[in-house]
Amino acid sequence: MITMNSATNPFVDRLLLHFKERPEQIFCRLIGSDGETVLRWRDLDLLAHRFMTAYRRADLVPGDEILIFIRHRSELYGSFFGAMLGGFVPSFMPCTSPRQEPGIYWSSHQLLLERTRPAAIVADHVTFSEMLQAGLDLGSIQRIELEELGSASEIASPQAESSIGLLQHSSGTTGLKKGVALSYSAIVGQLESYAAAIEASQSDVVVSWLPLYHDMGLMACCLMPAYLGIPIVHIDPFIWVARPELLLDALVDHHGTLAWLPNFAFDHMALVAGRRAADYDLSRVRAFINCSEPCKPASFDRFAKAFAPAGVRPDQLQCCYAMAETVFAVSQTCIGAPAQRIRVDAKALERGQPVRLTAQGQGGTELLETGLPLPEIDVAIYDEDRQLLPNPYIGEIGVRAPFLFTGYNKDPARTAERLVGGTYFTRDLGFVLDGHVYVLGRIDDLIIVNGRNLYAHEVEAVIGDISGLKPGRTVAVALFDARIGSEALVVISERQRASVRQEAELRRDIMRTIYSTFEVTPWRVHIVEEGWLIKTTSGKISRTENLARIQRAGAKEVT
Amino acid sequence: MNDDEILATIAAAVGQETGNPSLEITSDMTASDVPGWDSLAHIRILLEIGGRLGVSINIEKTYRAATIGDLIPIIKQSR
Repeated sequence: MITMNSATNPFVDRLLLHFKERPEQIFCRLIGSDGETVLRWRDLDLLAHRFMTAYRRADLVPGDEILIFIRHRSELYGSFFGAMLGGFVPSFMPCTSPRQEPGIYWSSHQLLLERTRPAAIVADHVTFSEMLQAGLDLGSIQRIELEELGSASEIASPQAESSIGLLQHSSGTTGLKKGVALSYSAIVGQLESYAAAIEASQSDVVVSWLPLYHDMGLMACCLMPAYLGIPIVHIDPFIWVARPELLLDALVDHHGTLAWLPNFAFDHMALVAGRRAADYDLSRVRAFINCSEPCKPASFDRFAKAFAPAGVRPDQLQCCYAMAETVFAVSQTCIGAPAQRIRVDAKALERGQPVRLTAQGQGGTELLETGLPLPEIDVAIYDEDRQLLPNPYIGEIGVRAPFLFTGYNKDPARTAERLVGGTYFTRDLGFVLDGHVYVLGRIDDLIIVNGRNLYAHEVEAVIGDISGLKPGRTVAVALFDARIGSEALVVISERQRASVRQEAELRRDIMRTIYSTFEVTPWRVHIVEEGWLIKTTSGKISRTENLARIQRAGAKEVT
Repeated sequence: MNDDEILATIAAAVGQETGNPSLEITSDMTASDVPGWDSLAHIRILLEIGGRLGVSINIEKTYRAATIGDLIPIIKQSR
């Protein structure tokens, strides 16, 4: 394949090689509401080059950032890889779901666009219309409309491997999303290391329902298989929610060997699809990998029990600790062996304390390991002053690796706060025991609801403008709901004393605003009278104390 | 089974699957009015209703229901 410059870029070079050497092989089967679309490497080659040409015709220059708002269709892949071929910097972004109000959703992007100033947006005509109807000012941002995609140019111009390959926006509200900038060398370093850890090969088939704007979907289920030439089966996430058995169908029909799932998905699969388990033979799947949320033993147990009739064994249930800032995996359990479990004294699970194991039959909390760090990664545990703690003390997990992110896009202050002297401070709380990494939860106020990352303070901020609520008098907190295998969002808001708005009205506004902004439905919304929320001695509203108070007041406890 | 009985079944399933059995459910409410009724809970609620009534509900059709009351004819058509 011809390229315009001689820059070495192992990722793009590998793509170009696949285009040349395996044109008839399947790159991806997309499963959506209208059935299956087969995307072969030659199709991807053509589509990616058409996008690359469109970007150039829009006068984009290498290094320009491109936001991709595309639903589940082949152009998702073409637009992304086309950007890489031309040296542009792509980033997948979520579109609206059927229940989200487009007006609220798109207008919330104004701040993001002003802050990040992308050079172009890729979307279909309907999506652009929604954006404009919502009053989104696109300014000088180029609009690449899918319906107007032209013909292809043959010449790629990849950038050097040290350049930024992509941005990943996976957490935060729309306006404040952190764009994690990843270089090609970091991406390839991670992919090669992780592929070795899970013994990935071209005999594998990755089956996924994960969206591509999330690191698990993007890295494990798109870029790694693309790099290695592993076929992908990609189910529309919206369709999977309603029909989780599609994942099982795809694993069986297409001889799937690897599937990554967030913790809640193990429960959703067991609850909804488990009743048909005997219809499937899942014994040949190499690994179902639980990733991105704290891995819960009870979720594995429910999944294993539900799918035992399908031949699922404990050694197929694996764990991974991953984040965008390390491109993807930090640690991974040993494929082919059950993930280790330990029992610990729950009362002693505090930062700065050593973890205390409890003996069999003496109670305690069961924890699942997330495996050994990848060989190139150093994991260390830090106290609140960022001083090293010995193992197995509990503290903030810090990571050093040759494939760390370059920084947060256009946010040097946040980068400097989190990336210090070559160590990335994760804000995850955990410990290392006998070399194995255990993750306990978050130090900051990040809440993970069914795989969606949202910060409590951002939830509180978006509710702040609702008429009838006391400004600044809302708290958002999380409870772990063991039944669904995920954290659940609880909101407590004070109603203004003078407001005539009914409680039901306020609750509805809160729910719609949160859903339209974050695509998360609160599990509980409590409207309380002015002055109800407890403040700390420093004048801040305490999330934990107010959660405890509302529970004492009679709210049903999540168990 | 009449509409009131189906609504009572919906209310019981919603209460169970959102963990809030005391919540009053009326036919003019929407999923957005019910804390905990997210897209995953929606599937569990319909499976629960189907299980209680002994029918298989077409989930795709339920996405077109604007209110809880609109679910009733869809459930009636289910077998």
